[in-house]
Amino acid sequence: MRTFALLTFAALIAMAAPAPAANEFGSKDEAVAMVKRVQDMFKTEGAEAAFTAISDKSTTEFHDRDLYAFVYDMSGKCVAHGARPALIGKNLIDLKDQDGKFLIREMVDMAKGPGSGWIEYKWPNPITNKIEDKLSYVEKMGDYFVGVGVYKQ
Amino acid sequence: MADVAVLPASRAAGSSGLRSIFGVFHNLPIKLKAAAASVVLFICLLALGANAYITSTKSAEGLRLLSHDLEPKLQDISGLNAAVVATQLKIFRYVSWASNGVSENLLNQLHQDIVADLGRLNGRIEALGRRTDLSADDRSALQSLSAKWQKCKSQAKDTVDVGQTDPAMATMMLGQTDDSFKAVDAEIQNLAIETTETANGVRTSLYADAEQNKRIIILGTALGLVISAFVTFLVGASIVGPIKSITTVMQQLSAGKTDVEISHRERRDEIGKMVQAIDVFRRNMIEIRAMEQATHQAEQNRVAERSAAMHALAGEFEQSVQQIAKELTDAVGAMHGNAEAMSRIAAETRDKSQATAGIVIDTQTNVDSVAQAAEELAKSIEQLAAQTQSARKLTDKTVAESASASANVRQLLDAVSQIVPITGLIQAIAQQTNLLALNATIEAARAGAAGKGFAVVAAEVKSLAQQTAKATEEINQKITAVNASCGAVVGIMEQVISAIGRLGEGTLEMASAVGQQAAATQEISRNAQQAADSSRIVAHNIVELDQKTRENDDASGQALAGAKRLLDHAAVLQRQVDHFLRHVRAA
Repeated sequence: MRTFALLTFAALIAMAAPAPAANEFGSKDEAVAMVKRVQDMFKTEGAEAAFTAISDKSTTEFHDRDLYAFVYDMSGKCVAHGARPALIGKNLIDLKDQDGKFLIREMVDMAKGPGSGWIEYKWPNPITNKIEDKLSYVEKMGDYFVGVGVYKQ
Repeated sequence: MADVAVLPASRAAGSSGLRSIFGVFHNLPIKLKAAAASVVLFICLLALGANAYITSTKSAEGLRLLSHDLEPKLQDISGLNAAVVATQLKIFRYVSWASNGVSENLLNQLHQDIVADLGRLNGRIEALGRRTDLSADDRSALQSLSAKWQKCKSQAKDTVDVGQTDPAMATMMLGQTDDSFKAVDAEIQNLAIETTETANGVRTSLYADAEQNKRIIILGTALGLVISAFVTFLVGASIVGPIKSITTVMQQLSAGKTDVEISHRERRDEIGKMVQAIDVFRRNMIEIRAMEQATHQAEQNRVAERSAAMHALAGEFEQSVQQIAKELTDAVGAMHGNAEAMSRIAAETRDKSQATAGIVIDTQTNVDSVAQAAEELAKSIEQLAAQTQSARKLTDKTVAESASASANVRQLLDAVSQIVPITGLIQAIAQQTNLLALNATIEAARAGAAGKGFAVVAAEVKSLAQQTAKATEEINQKITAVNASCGAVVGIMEQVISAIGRLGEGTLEMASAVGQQAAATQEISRNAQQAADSSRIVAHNIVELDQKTRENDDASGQALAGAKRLLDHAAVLQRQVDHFLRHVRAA
């Protein structure tokens, strides 16, 4: 399944997506790739190092235009955030977006269930600082889940 | 009588139970009967009071619960609610300010304010949980509230904390904060509703209790009034009715009616005792009446016997009177003779007195002669001292005797004066007896057998006749005494005369011897003169005696008048005797 999905994304990127460096905003593929990088670092360097790197805005590996990573544990507590450090340490399990969607709960359910997937919701864009539609890829990571999303333009 | 006797029976005719109640009630002492209504009212009052006490206690407890527990709890809850809403609004305001460029200074103040609010709200909720008047439901609701509040508090704090650096994210977080505040509000509302319902329950219970209490009071009062009225009526029937009937019985008894019927004898209370006592009175009355009748019969018998005896006595008395009347007639004749004799004696006495007076006058003349002789002798009797002495003695003696004579004459006067009333009495009696005799004759002739009035007249006449006999005897004695006195006077006077004569002889003998003793002779002359004076006194007394004798005659006339009055008295006496006899016979 996971392999199938990756293959599907790869095919999609190969057929339709323009060159990543050329776009003003990050793409879905780039988001997924960033998730993979987080996974790698989490595995190789440990959770603390990965969380610090994610939250440090100077780390380019996890900060690319409007792309950034976020990590929550399964209770909904934010442990690392690339754009909004104020949220670190806060439990946002009951957080709703402007449409009333419990987005963190859905992410937890996704991580606990399929283990990964896309979730659409509304979230403030760090660049425009406006709440916009966002599509995030979320993936289980040990006792946590990690996600990177793109803002729909 | 009958109505009272029937009264309990007719009333109890309805049921035997009521009758037995009446029976027991009748036999209670009056004191208990009188207290019965009060006791019933007292019991009702006690029951009402107890009910009022219990209800009031319940009401007080309910009101205390309302005012001390539920209302403050409700106030706390609603206050909490308002504070929660106010805090929520502050959070919204904060996020709004943070997103719209309000100065960091103001934002920090509001942030501190919200944090303090959250702490205070936490304290309020904890204080609510510490209340001692919480029910089990309250506790579980509060536990739920507390849990939700903790979450809400945490989210609120997160929101404002995030808002300090990331207003956009805080705006995002307002949704969850709002939800958790809503949940807390809902819990608070639940608690408020629950408390309000409890309070409403208490109010409803209070109202129901008050309504029930009202009904109990009305019912109890009505029941007490009805029962006490019934008991009062019972007392009235048990006391007033019988007492009325007893009063009627007593009035009839006091009016002398003894064949009255006395009811309520079987009762064992005071009325029963009263009725028994009245029955004793009634029996006593009957006995006393029988005794009175027996006494009255005996009295009548005695009166009849006495009347018969009186009639017999009156007959005997009348017979005696008739006999005495006859005797009286005889006595009256005798008395008339006596009276005439008395009159004669009185006349003789008068004559003798006059004679005495003449003698005395002669004596005086003689004494005057002696005096003249003495005068003549005066010049030649100086030498006759002894003779003169003798003559003086003689003269003295003469004087003494003359005095004696004078005393005798006075004695005579006394005797005669004693004769006066006696003679008068005798003459009066004589006169009256005379008239009585006349009257008796007429009465006897006219009345014949009915001449009973003679009884007393005859007794009076008889008494008068006896008195007359006595008086006649006394008069005879006194007359004799007068005669004797008069004789003595005559004798003394003769002695005086002879003494004077001897004096004259002595004087003649001494005339030659004492012729010159004029003084002596003059003394003799004076003595003689004194003798003459004494004689004149004697004569004067005799004249007085004569006068007294004449007065005797007048007294005799008065005696006759007295006798007439005596007769009148006799007539009065006779009438009174008639009257007396009539009464005696009538008795």
